[in-house]
Amino acid sequence: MAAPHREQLIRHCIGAANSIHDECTLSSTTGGGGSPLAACGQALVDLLSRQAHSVCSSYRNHESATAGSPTPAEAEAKAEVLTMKRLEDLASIAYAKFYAFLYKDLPVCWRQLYTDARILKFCLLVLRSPYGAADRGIAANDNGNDDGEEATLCELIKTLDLALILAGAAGELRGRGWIDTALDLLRLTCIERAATAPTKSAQAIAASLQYRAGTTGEGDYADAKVFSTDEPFTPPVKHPIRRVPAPSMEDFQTYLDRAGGAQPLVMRGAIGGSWPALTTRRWDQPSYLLSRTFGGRRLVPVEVGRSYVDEGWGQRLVTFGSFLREYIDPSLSPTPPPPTSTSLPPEANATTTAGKPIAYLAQHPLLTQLPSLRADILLPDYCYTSPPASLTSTDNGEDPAPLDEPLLNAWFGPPGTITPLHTDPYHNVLAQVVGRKYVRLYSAAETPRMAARGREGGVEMGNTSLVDVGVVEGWDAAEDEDDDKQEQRRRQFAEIPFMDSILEPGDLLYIPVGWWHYVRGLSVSFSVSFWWN
Amino acid sequence: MDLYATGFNAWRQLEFDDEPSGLAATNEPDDVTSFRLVLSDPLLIEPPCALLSCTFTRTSTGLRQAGFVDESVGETTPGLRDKLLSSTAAIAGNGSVAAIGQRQFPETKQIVQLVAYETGFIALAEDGCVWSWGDERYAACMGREITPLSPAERPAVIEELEDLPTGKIVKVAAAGYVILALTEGHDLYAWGGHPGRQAILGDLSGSPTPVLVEENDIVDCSIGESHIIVLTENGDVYVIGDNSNGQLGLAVEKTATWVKVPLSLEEAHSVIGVRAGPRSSFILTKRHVP
Repeated sequence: MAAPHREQLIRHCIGAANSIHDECTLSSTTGGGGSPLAACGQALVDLLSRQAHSVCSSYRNHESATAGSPTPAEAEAKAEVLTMKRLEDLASIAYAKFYAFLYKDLPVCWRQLYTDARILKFCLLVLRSPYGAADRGIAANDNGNDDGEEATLCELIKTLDLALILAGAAGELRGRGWIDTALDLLRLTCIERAATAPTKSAQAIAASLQYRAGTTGEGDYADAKVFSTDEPFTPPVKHPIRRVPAPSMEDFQTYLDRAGGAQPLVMRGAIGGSWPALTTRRWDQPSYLLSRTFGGRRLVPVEVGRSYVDEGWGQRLVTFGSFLREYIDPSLSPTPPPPTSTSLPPEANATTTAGKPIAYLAQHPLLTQLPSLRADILLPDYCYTSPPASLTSTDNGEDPAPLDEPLLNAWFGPPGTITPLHTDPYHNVLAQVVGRKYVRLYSAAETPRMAARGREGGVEMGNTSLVDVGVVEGWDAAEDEDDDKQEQRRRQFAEIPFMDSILEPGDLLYIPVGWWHYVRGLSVSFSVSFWWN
Repeated sequence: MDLYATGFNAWRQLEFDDEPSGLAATNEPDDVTSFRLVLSDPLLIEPPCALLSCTFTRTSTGLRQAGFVDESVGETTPGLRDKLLSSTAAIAGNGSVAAIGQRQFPETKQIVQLVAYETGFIALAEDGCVWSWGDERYAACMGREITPLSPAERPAVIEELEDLPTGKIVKVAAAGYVILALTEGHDLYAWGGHPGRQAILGDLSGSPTPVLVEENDIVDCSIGESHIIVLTENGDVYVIGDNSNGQLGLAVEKTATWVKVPLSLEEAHSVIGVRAGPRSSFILTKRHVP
């Protein structure tokens, strides 16, 4: 039966394996000049090259097997197991370098080695999966083992997401472009397969990828259902930031250039009518977000803990679906989560939030990782204005290089997320897409009074304040034992002038470079920040 | 003398055969999952130096090497290779290289051993003092306070290793984010750790702490990226840590407690030393002359 997408996926994989093998050969024969991989050393290039060759052989064997000629299946399976192990070895060797170097000093070769090892693993997994094998895979999976396909699919997606998230999918010839295409072909293959494979899992997977706007779904979510707007705590706004209807780009430029320096500004409803994320492809609908994240199977990095300066704070990779169900809005999941989350830690199966730490998808280039969501937003025109130069240089004296295009970050979390008081080296437009957020700003001119941290454990923390605004205001309990010194610091801090506001869906907030900001999610909240200079 | 090895073998770095058999050479080499004899010499085998993709050792017939020898330590630059073998130079995981004589120590101490972990270095002086320097983000590996006067990147003495109950330090070993030190009186100390990761040893911290291996006195020790191998005074070999490449020589995935390696040595042979590569282990044995 014709399966054009599956055939494309297989060709895409064969292409990658060949291309990795060629690049390794080039890097060995041209004294390394031909490929960034050469900087990993010839031994590792040689090992990667052998695995690429082995994956190519597996595909060739598979083709000849489906053409009818018998192959020594046992030896082939054994070789594939060893290849899989070597690809894990390569990935772990490269991964160790991500920690051994300061990120800014990490040679790109290690990110590419990691990415290529993950791409090859994906290719081998595809071959052994129902999406690659025309005969043997389907036969193996229809033998009563219905969960096998779900687990295989999650493993395929995870393999490439690790390369995207941990290694930034480095590599000129393959890299992010190859991975984005592979995931899209995999998605299309799943849908295509549902038309011919009558298994329950194949049907369920295809259904999880569809979005039916405005209708009522039968699965875990009614399609039109939106996130809870529950707001457990609402701080008072004491010194409101100026709020105006969306200005024209020219008016905004005039505002930036005015004497005395640019001031913060809330542009009311500036994105409300124009962004698909707020109109036709609504980000406040869990079913929509799930359909755009491979049925919630894509991995995302989340910060677990109240705030990045707290003890016990840490980062974790979880599936987008479990992040929604377990952390963002447990009311979405009245029943225990489906078996898709069995690979997650045990606490992920809890249906209650009691005692559960807050998790925040914060400062992550989610829209680069998930290009289909990127299409739901528009770059605000305001990011094309020329902002005034920074009045106060950053603490380490290094001004960031000019950006070619704005840096986008996603901020998605449950009520109560906190971004501690800090300052960024860029002008910032924060777009509020879902829910409400409280923001408080202190002028760059107050920097000497912001109690900036210093170097902590070899990490520069000078852009973050020692002061916890929530504790100063009595909204949160102090983490540490209170002593007189802290008490005094808080009293003094309470006297510093500030501006604050609560952002509503559709609002844009302009934060001038160097201004200190404290941000607190009030309800389920999804924002996108744009840094530019 | 005999050399036994187990572990990561992706480049045949555990195979000293001069001419590998035709079939073996074309297949992808698998890891070695239990200690097996890899080299014999009637007179001498020195403890090997094992890098990720290759192994070197000196024997009575000269230098022997196995695996993929990168240019950086190959024939073109024998100087570094010799220094690695004699522990007078070391390469950290972040690529920095230190060599004795290259670094100016505040007092002109005689350095007898220099080892590297992932992001820094440990030097043992003749007087038993242990010096550390490296990336301050992994402060636990320094084993000492980091202060403006003794910053992480400048060699400074680990004071907690002075005046220990069983004498001065006579040997150091380091890899990954863990450092080992052995005293004259056969006590093993360890420190280090990577924030947010399970350490090989249970109670690891930034402060050197005695390591108990079932009450045994320890006479030799070595460490890989995520495993440790020690030799007891009784001649037993114990291992702990990760076994994903067979580096423990045991049929387990990993172990968080010390496990004695079952060895069936020939009559009158005994273990005289142990070594770890990043993902491999070596045991050196010798026949007793009656």
